[in-house]
Amino acid sequence: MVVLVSVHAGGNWFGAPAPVIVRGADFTIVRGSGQPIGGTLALDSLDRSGSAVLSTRVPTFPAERYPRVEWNLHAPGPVQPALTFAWRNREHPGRTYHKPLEWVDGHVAPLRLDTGDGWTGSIIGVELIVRGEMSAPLLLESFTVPGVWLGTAALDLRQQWTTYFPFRGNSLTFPFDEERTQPLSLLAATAIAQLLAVTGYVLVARRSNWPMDRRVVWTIFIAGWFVLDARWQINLWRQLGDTAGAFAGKSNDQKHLAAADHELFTLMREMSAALPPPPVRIIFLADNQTLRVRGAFFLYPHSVNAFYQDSPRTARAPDAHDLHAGDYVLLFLYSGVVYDRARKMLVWVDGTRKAVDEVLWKSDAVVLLRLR
Amino acid sequence: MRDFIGLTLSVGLPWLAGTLSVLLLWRRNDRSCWLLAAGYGYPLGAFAATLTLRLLDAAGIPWTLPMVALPMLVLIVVLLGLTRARRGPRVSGSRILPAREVLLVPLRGLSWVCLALIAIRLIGLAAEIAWRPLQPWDAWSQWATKAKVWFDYGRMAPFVSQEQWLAPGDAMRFVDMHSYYPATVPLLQVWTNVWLGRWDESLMNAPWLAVAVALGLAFYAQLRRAGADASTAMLFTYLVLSLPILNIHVALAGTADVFIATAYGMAAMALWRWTRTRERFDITLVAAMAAVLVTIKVEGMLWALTLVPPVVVALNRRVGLGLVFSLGAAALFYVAFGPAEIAMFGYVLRTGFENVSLPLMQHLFIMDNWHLLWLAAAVVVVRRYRRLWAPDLASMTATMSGALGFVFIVYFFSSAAGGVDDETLVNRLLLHMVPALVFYLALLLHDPPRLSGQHEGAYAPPLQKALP
Repeated sequence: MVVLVSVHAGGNWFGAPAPVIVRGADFTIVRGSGQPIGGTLALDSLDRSGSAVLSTRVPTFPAERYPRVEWNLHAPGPVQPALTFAWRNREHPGRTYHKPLEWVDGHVAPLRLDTGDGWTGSIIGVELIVRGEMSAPLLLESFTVPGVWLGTAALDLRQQWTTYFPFRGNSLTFPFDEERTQPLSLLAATAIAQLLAVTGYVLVARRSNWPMDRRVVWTIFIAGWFVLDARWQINLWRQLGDTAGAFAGKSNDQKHLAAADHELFTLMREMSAALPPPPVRIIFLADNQTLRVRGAFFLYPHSVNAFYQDSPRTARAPDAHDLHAGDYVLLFLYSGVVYDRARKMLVWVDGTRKAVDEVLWKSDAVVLLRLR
Repeated sequence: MRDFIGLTLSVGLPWLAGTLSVLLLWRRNDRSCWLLAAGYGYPLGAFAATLTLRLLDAAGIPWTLPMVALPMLVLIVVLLGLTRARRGPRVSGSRILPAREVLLVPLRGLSWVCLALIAIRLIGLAAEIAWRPLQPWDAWSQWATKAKVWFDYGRMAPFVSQEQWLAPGDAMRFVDMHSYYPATVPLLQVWTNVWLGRWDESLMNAPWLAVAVALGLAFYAQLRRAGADASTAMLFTYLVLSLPILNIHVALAGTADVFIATAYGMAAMALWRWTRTRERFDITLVAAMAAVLVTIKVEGMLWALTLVPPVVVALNRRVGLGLVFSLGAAALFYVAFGPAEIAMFGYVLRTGFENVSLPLMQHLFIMDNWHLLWLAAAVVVVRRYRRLWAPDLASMTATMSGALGFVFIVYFFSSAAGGVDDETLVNRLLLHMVPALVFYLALLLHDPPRLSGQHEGAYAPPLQKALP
C-alpha cells in the first residue's frame, strides 16, 4: 500500500504543487463548432469527418510532478462520444502524445499518466479530441491537473476503495463500473495482499522448520473475503437507505413518480388516459430505444409495439402498409415519419401519406394519433 | 396485513407443496432431509404453481384467487397424506459415512458468523425487493411485460412475433422484446399478484428472495450429505450467497438468471450425489431440476445438456470421458473446418474467434463482481489438478468442463460475443454456473477418499478436511 501511495504521489512526498486549472471557456475549438456559455464551453457538433478538437495552452508545468488529469465535462443524452486527451511538451514541441479517456456513469474518469504514456518534460498545451456520435452538446466545464502528495494520494486510494456503487440501470451487468478506472481495485489489492501473506508465511515456515498449517492459508483467504464482503454489505445498506427514502411505503404509481424516469411515466399516463380501455394496438415510434421500450412498458396491457426498430439508434420508419385503420401511433421524438398537423396526415420520406385523427398532441415531438 | 398474508401464502404454499413432494420421494426420515427438501422444494413448488396457471388457462378457467388456490391446496393435502403414509423409520443421518465431529472451536464460531452474515444479507435483500420498483432492462422489456398483460386479462394472451403482430388482426395479440421467451418467470409474477389481489411491481418479485433462500438451504444440505461438517458447509454456503452478482440479481429482481443458477446448481449437486450413490431419489431430483431449467429460459436447454456427459461418465467412466473429449474435438473440428455461421438455440455460432478477454478479465479479476471466487477457483484447480479426473470427481469435473466449454463457446465463438464485449452479458452466463462451481470447489478441496474395503458407489467422501 505504501508503494502504491508513493507511486501515485508523483514523487511529492510532503507537499503538493499548485494545481493547474483551465476553464472550459478558455479552450479554442480547432475543429467542430460550438460556443462558450459563461465559463463553460459547449461543443454543439463535430466537423464533417465526425470529430472535433478543443485546444488550449497551459501554464508550463513539469509532468512528473502531476500524475493525474481530470476533465470535468458532461455529454447529456444516451450517446457519448469517444474522447482522447492529447498533450504537447516543450522538449518535443512538434510531437503530440495522446491517451483515451473513459466514460464512467456519465462522467469522464480521472486519467493517470506516467512516462510510458509520454507524460514527460514540461507540458505546454493540451487538447481534447472528440469522435463518434453526439446526441446533445458536449459541455466542458474545466480541465484540472491536481497537485498531489502522499497525503492526498492516500486519501484518493481510501476514497476509491470505499466508493459507493449505487444501483443504476446497468448495475445488473456491471455494478462496479468505477473500479475499472482505479489504479488498483480493492479486489486486486486484496488478492495481492493475500499472495504476499501466504508467500511470507511459507517462507517463514520453511526457514523456521514449522510444519505447514492449512489453517493459516484458510484464515488469510477468509479474511480477504470478509474485507471485500464487508465493503459490499455496507454498500448494500447505503443503497437500502436510498431505496427506502425514495420508495418505501409508496404505491406502484407513487414509486414511478419518485423514480428517475417519472416524467416519462407521467407522459405515458396521459397517453393511457387519452386511449380507450385496453386493449388497443399502439405502435410506439421513437428514435431512442430506451425511451420507446420503457415508455411501452407503462402502456401495457394495451397491445403496444415498441420493438419495430431492432437497433438502439436507427430511426427506420415503419412500412406504411404495416399500419392499419384503427391502429394508434405514438410519435415520440421520432424522425422517421412526420405528422402534418394541418392536413392530419402521417407523411413518410418517400411522400407516402396516411390519414390520421389526432388523439393527443403534447408538442410537435410527442403526438398520439389514430389511423383512419 | 392483507399483503403480508397474501405474500406469505403465495410463497409458502408452493414451497410447502414442493417440500412435501421431495420428502415423498425420499423415504428416509432424518434431520438433514428437511433442509434438502426445503431447498429443492421451492423451485419445484414454484414450478408447480406456474403449471397450475397453465392448466387453468388451458381449461379456460380465469385466474381468480379461489381457482388458483384450490388446486395448490388439494395438492398439499394429497402430498401430506402420501408423505405420512410412506415415511420410513427415523434414522440418525443421511450421510452414508457420518461426519466426524472434529470441529475446532474457532470454526464453530465462524459457522455462526457466516449464518448471521447470510441472514443479514437476505433481510436486506428482502427489503430492497419490497420497496424497489422494477429496474432491470430485461425485466420490463421481456419478462414483466408478459406478466402485466396476463395478470390484467387473467389468462395467457399470446405474445407473437413482430411479423404476426404487424399483420392485420385483433388487439389481443401482444409483442415484446422477446415474445418467444418461456412463460415460467412471468407466470410466477402473475401467481404472486393473484395472491396480492393487485398488480404490484415490487412485491410480485418475492420469488427472487425465496429462490435465493432455497439455494442456500439446498447447497448447505447437499454439502452435509456429501459429508461436510456443519462449519464447512455453512462457510461455503456463505461464499455462494455473498457473491455480489448473485445478490444484485436478487435485489434488482425481475430477470430469470438467478432461477437458472439455482436450478442448474441444484441439478448438478444432485447429479454428483447420484454418481456416488445411484439412489433413485437423486436422479429424480436431477430430472426435476432439468425440467425446471428448460422452462425458465432458452439457455436452460443448453445448461441441461451439460448434465448429459457426467451421467455417461458415471455409468461408464471410459466411455464418458471419451464422450467429453470427443465433444471437445468436435468443437475444434468445427472451428477449423465448419461453416462460418450456424444458428443454434438462439445463438449464431461462428468459426471466427472474437477476443473478449479484456472485459472478461476485468469482470473476473479487477472488479468485485465475484469477490475472490474466480481467483480462488484458479488456485484450487491448479493445486488439485491431480484430483480432477479421480473416480469420485470425474463426473462433476465433466459437468464443470461442459459448463465452462459452453460459456467459452458462447463468449468467444458466437453472436453473443458482442454482448460480452459491451459487457451486458459478461456476468450473466457465469452466474448460471456459479453455485455448481462453488460446490465443485468444495468437493475438490477435500482429501482423496479412502475407498479400501468399501463399495465405491456407496461412499460419500467426508469433507471435514476441506477446512482445518
